Amino acid sequence: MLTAGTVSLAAAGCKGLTALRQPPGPAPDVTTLDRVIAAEELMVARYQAALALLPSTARPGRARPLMATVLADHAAHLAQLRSRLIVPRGSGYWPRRHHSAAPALPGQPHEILAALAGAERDAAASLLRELIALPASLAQLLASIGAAEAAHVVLLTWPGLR
Amino acid sequence: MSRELVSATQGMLSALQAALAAEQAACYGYGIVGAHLTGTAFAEASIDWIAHERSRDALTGMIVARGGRPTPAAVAYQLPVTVRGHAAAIALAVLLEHDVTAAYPGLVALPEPALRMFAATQMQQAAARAARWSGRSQAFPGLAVRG
Repeated sequence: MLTAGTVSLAAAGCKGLTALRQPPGPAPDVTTLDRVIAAEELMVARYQAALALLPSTARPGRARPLMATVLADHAAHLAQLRSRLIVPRGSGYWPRRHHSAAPALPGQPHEILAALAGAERDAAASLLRELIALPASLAQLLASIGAAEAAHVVLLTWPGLR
Repeated sequence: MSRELVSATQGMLSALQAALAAEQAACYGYGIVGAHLTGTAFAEASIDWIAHERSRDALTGMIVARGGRPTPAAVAYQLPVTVRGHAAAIALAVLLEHDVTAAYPGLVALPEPALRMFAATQMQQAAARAARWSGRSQAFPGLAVRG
């Protein structure tokens, strides 16, 4: 009988299955990276939604090529970030399944641009906080991505864009 | 002082000196940029010039506070482009900002939170200035990243 067998192992002083403890949790930098990846996925989804919205607006103007360029930057960020997330097999940690449904965007081009600029500004500020406790090379990558996002804010708020 | 500590301090001072050198070059370069601009562009160049002077002074203070001796600026610098007018002046401003951005990842790599935060903030500000001058962004400002 299974129950009897288990008990008898314990009674015999054999550690048996109890020796297989829960593996240690992920290192803090893994969870930070996972969080940054989720934010970047959301940013990509946001731009994809914005580009899908623009053709239906009256005058997309120069906004559309700019958004496509910025989306390409974010896609490159996401690829780099994902390449840094290496979880050893058997570590017991699975990167989160991210839900990248973009938040609702306003309808007018100038409102979309303002919403995107706000998201970029928030993301750049968030990366400044996230990179403080990371290993050097990952901190450098996040610093660079934050710098790209700061540049995006400038381009999205360009006076001649609207 | 242990050998490891001496090595870490030297590495920190070396990264600070590299950032200082880039800011000193930017201060010199913006003098040339501003001389070829007028109106709004001149005003923007003046603001950027002051920003680099402040960063230079902050870095100088950081080096002194850590027992180092800031390397003085050169009397003159070889410019990466010949500046004879508005367009070349703006091109120089973009190059200066790219050089400054690339000078800070070495500081970001250091473990000291205050230095890391300062350097990452400087990277954001330099990339934003480069975007304002060029109308373009880079996917990875300051880094050489393979796609």
